[in-house]
Amino acid sequence: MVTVITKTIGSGKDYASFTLAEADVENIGTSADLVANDEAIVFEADAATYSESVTFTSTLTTDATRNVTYKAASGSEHGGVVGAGVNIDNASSVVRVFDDFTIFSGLSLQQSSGAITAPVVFLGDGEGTIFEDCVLYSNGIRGCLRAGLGASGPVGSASHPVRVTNCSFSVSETWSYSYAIWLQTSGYSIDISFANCTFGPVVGSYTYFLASVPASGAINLELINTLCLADKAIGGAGAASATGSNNFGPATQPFPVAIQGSPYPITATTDLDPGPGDWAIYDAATGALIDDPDNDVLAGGIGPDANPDVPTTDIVGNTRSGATTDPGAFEISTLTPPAPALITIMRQIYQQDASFSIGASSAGVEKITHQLGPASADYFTINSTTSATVSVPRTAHALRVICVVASKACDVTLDLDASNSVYLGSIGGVASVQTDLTYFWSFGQVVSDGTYPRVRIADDGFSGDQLVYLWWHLA
Amino acid sequence: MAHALIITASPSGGLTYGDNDVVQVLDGHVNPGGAVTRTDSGFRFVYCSDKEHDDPDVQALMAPWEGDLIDPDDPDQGRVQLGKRRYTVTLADAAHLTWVDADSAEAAAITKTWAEIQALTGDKAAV
Repeated sequence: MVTVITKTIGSGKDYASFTLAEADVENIGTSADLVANDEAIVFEADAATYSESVTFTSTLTTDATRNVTYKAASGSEHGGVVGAGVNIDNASSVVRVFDDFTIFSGLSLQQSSGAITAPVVFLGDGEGTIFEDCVLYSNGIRGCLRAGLGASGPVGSASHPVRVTNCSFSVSETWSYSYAIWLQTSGYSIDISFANCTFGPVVGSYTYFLASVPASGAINLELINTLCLADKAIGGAGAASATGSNNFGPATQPFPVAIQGSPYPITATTDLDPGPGDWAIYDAATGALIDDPDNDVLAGGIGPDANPDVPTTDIVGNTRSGATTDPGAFEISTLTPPAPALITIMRQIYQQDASFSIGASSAGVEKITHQLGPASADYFTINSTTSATVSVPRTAHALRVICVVASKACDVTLDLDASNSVYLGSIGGVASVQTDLTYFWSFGQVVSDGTYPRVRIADDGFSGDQLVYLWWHLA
Repeated sequence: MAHALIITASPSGGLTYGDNDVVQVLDGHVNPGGAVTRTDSGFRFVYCSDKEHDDPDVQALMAPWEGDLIDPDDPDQGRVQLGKRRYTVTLADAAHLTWVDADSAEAAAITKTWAEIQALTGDKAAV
């Protein structure tokens, strides 16, 4: 049984930075031989921006289970958004890896400043390296990930390739030979596997997803369930020998026929009503696929039951199962998320409000993510010709509305976008309270454009002004 | 008043950095962490009294050691770094083994001027 030693990274934690944590990694276990000690080290980082460039090279002895993991702590997840959660941002390479079996999980890795001539991630040596559930962004000309070029040893091995799963790559560079991922041997082999990765949502003009250049040494490249939202997918002399399956991308510089998904090619769009064609409809903020009948790539990937290299959860924790799945890092969730809780103290407030009082206080109410009222100037005023709307954050996937209205009923509607609305129900009545209008939607189903999604409260045919005090819970 | 906190690797301190390598430069008001400030950690500490942590001179102490690896296939892409740090700062006095906060640094005798730190700085590229 492997003994897991957990350390923390963040303000007031064991280490203030990734650099200090990595520097001390040989002092944490019983010795530097984690295999002999049957130990693993897990660093859990708090959400923050860490401005540093970290080189991971040590004398540790590791294997596939007794190794070192750097991950986002619970509650510090990025939610699929670059720059959120545990965000390491630097003007040079953010991560340089030379150690074996190092795991990077749930991190945002980016170069947000421009004119940068180093990749976000450089792989210079080491087998069994894993990047999972990470979002990567490059604003420079060297892309998100490079392997091999100038390496000091093989990158990955046949038995323990580098594995990149559930990661999204974005590149804003518009140079015509930009690549999100560049693999080039320079005396040592590269063994690397990508499963359920997305290239996008930010893709510079003319930018490729990946180049495979076996200059002096073999490149064994596997691509599974890739979703390429750019207008070029793959280049280099090694592209044709890539193995894998169910990859979706464009017609120009396409994935090799043998590893394409169906339909192929696809056209990436954020248009929810794109008309005839084969479309990959995605969220402009994250690259997550949208649950839309015109989205032709949904369930186009091979599932974990048919290929064990396919991860059983996606980049934000949604479950994958069965013989098919969605390509890319995001899975359209088919599970009903838990309802936002109506906690005890909230229930008390609600019960107090049953007799309705303008002076009802929300003091002490917990877990309310948005609130209007009950302060005297903090409410919607609507009438027979005016409705009130409030936008909902795009990361929400469930809504529970609790309202107090002055005297007449109102209709509550959730507008998912300009053409898709869900009527949640009628609230209120005569000096009364109505509650518990709850609605769920899948992550990625809702596209945020600053206006949508939104909650709309409109009159129910009454005359005169109506005061509406609104609390809502988001989950 | 102390400003930048320079953290180096103690010789035989068990860190992944070379002896006396500059591991990191932090804002002097940042606590480097409970595992770092332990008296038996492999880190050493010195505050720079006349430089801020984001001063380019101080930041340059964290420059990578690039060795001699110029990529033969793509020379325009520059060097690839293998070593961690180019510069060392040798802090021989035992006082530097113990971290104290910025306000106590001068009394603990772990504050130096930039000129004093430069005199302790070694450059691997110059060897």
